[in-house]
Amino acid sequence: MTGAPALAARGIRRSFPEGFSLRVEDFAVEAGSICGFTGPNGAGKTVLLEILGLVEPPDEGGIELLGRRIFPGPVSREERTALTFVMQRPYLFRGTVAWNVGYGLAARGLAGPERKRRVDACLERFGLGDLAGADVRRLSGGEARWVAIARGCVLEPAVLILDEPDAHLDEPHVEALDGLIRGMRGSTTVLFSTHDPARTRICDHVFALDQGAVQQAR
Amino acid sequence: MDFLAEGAAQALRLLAGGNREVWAAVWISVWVAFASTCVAAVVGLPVGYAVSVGRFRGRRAALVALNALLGVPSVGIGLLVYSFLSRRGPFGSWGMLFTPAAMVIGQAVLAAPVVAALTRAAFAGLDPRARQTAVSLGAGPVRVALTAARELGPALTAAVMAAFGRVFGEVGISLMLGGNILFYTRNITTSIALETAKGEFALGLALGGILLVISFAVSLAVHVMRGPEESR
Repeated sequence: MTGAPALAARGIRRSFPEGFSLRVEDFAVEAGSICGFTGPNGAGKTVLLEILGLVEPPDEGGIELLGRRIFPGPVSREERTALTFVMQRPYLFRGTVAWNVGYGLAARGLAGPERKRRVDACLERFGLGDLAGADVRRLSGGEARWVAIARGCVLEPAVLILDEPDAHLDEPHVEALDGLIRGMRGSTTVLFSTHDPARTRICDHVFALDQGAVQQAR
Repeated sequence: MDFLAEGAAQALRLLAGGNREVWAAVWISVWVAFASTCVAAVVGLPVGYAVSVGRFRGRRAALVALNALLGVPSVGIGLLVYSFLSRRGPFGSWGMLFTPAAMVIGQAVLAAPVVAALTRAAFAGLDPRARQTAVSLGAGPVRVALTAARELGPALTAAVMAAFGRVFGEVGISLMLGGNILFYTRNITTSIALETAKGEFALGLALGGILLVISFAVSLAVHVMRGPEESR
C-alpha cells in the first residue's frame, strides 16, 4: 500500500446463533482505491460490508475510517456522513425518484436550489432524468437498485460501499456501473462485493471470503 | 314497534328542523373529541415510536403499562382526572372541573394509550431497512424518526383516527368531568343517557343516529387509510 488507508479493519469478530462467525484479521484499504470482495453465498460478504458500512457493530474489534477508530461506541454524525453504504436489497422511501436521490443531501442540510441542481445533475449522469418524478413503487428491481446507487453517489462520500451492486442490473447498466466506479478512482474509496470473480477486473485490490474468513487475493 | 317507528320519525324531524339542543351536543362532541385526539397524538406518537425502536431500561415495563392502559374503562379515567381537578384535588384551584377543557384532558388520557399502542405496532411492522437506510444516508435521530413516520403515514393516521373513534363514543369521562351542562359540556353521549332516562326517546334516537353515522365514517376512514394490504 502506498497511500494512507481510508478504511481499515482491526480484528473484527461477529458471531451468529446459527453458528456462522466472521473472523477478519487486520486489513486496510488505501484512499481512492477500488476494492472487491468475492465469495460464495454465505461466505460473509454482506456481514463484513455491513460492519465496514457502520450499519452493524462487530462483537469484537473495530474499524478505522479516515484515521479515526470506530467501534466500540456510538458512531458520530461526521463519521457517518464520510461513508455511504448501499445495501444488497436497497430500500427506497415512499415518493419520487428525485426525492429519494435528494434525501441524503437534505439530511446534510443542503438548501433547496443547490440540492435540486445536484440531484438533477446526478439523475442525468445516471440516465434517470425521465424517471425523476416517477413513484418508486412503480420501478423494476433493476431500476430501484440503480436509483439506490445514484442516491449514494450523489453524496460524493469519501468511502462508498456497495453490496452486490450488479444484482438485478442488465448488461448495459453493469457496464455503466463499471465506468462509474472506475471514474471514482483517486477521489472516492469504493468497496463492493460480487459473486462473479470476473467483475473484479476493475479493482485495485481483491479480498476473497470463505466461511467467514478473509484473504487478500490481489 | 310503533314506539320505535314513532321515535325514529320524531328524530328525523328534530334533525331536519335544526333542533338547537341536538346540534349543540353534536358540535361539542366533535370539537372536544378533536382537541383531545390532537393532544393524544402529540403525546402518543413519540411515545409509541420510543417504545417500539428505543433500547432503554424499563422498555418492557413500558410496553406492559401501555397495553394495560388500553383496558382501563373511561369511567376509571374520569374518576382519576376528577380527583385531580376537584376542589380538594391538587389542581382544584384552576376551576377546570365541569368545563370542556376538563373533558379534553380526560379524553386525551383515554386516547393517548390507543395512539401509542397502535403507533408502536405500526413501527414494529416497518421494514428495518427504512431506518437503516436513513441512518446510513446521514440522517440524525429526528429525521430518522420523521422518515419512518412518513413511511407509515396511512397506518399512523389510522391510529389517530381510531383514537378519535374511541373518545367520540365514550360517556364516563364526559359525564364525570363535563357535568352534562346544556350548551356547554353536554355532548352526544351524555345527551343520549339523559334524554333516554327522562323518557325523551326521540331525541336520544336522533343523537344515537348521528353518533352511529360519525362512528361509522371514522371506521370507514380508518379502513381506507390502512389500505387494501393492511385491511385484509
